[in-house]
Amino acid sequence: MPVPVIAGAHTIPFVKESTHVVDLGADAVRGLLRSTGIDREAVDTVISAGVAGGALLGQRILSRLSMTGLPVFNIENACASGASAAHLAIGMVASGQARIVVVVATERLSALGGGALKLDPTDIEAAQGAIMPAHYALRANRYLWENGLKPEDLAGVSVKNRRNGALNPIARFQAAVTLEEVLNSKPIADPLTLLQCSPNSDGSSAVLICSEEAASELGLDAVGIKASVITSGKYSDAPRDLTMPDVTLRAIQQAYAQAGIGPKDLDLAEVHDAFSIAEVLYYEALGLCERGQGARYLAEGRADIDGDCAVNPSGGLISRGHPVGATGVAQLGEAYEQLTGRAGARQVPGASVALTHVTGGGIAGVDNGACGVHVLAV
Amino acid sequence: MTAESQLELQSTGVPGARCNDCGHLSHPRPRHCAQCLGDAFTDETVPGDGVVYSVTVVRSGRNDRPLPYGLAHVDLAVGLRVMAGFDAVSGDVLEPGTPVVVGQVGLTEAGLPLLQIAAPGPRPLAGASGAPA
Repeated sequence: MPVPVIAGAHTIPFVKESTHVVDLGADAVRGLLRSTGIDREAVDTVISAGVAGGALLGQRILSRLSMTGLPVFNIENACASGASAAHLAIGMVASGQARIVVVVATERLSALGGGALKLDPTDIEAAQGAIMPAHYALRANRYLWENGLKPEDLAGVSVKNRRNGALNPIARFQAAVTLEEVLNSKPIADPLTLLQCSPNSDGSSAVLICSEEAASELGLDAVGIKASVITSGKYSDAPRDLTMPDVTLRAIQQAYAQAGIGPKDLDLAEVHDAFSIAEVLYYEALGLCERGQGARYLAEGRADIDGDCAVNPSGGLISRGHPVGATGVAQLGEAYEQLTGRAGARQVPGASVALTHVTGGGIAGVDNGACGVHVLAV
Repeated sequence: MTAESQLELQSTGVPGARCNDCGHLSHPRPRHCAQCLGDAFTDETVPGDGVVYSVTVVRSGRNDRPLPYGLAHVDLAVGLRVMAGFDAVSGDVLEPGTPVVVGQVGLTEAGLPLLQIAAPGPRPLAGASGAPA
């Protein structure tokens, strides 16, 4: 049975505004082809991911590169779109249905006009005025109350991730910020301020998923895929715990079981820091620390690039930016660069095991709509 | 909010619907029962007494309603969690664990109930201020 690997990655710079979603995707695919040196004709399948790019985004991208006539799939799972596309590519290679797959994930959020992303008006919580920052702010206030913490205990996530992003050439924000700047930035939904919210961004990322044999034939550095999990949030209209994220916990546990690892085995994790509180909750859901100790884990530097487990060495969503459908593939691209020693100034020393984690969407009664977790290793 | 309008809001209850097949209570009235997929319901207004699970004040991000506004998750005594608004400008500070009463203040354009916290604190006992229990 073929063994799927990641054998190349290319992420274009994430920006505030760009001109055309198709151009973004074409740039990412072209960059992947050039960085791997593979011929267009070698690619037998393409899976495109995105939320707001419109119908047939994959085919529209590929027509710009004269990569036409092959099987193309277009995937949407909110912010988990890219990870979902990668999951499907991995399955196609493992089953022998495809041999060399390009996964390209693209988003042009500037086309939506800025501000909080609009939720479904028939969603009962959106009807009351909920926006994504508010959903996370509710978790943040509960977490602060449960653990006797202050807002600054969460804001340190932004300081760390902006520091990391300053080392990442494709990150939207290239400058570090201080804790005071984070706390004094524009209030969005208490206790979250603007610099604690990932910025709407435009961007695209592409990875090459192929069989181990194909990677060897092509002379490419291969990174093993030890786990690939996609799951959805479970609905409940009853009181439930919002500070242990259910969909993430289930996906992480499945991924650890697939990979045969535990949290202590991770050298780095790219997690879904859509808002500062999210990353703190994910330290706990990943088992990097005990319940309620996430803020301490951060404060002690254990999530730093040279810490116990480098969390978001890329700068995460807060610094790299969040073109929603593209993020999951950008995370895989970062993990590929880290595990092949290509991460430059933000290289995690001796990185050999990486986890990527992304969640998608806000729906009333559901933790998140979708969650994708991958474990990669060399 | 005046004392009178608080009392009026407390008396509205929270609109729900009970499945005729399995008895599951939902808010708002669904198209299909989440438990048994049934599609026959009896409207049921439930008491809005509950406890705040968490709160926030939205200060930016939407341009279709005046800012700031408060939002809270409230766990109702009947076993449902609802989201309700509250006055973020002149209202009292809410914290998790605060007993509150939630009521309906109107409908959205999509016909969904708009909920608001009447005031922090449990419903007054009958006779304490002339308010119903």
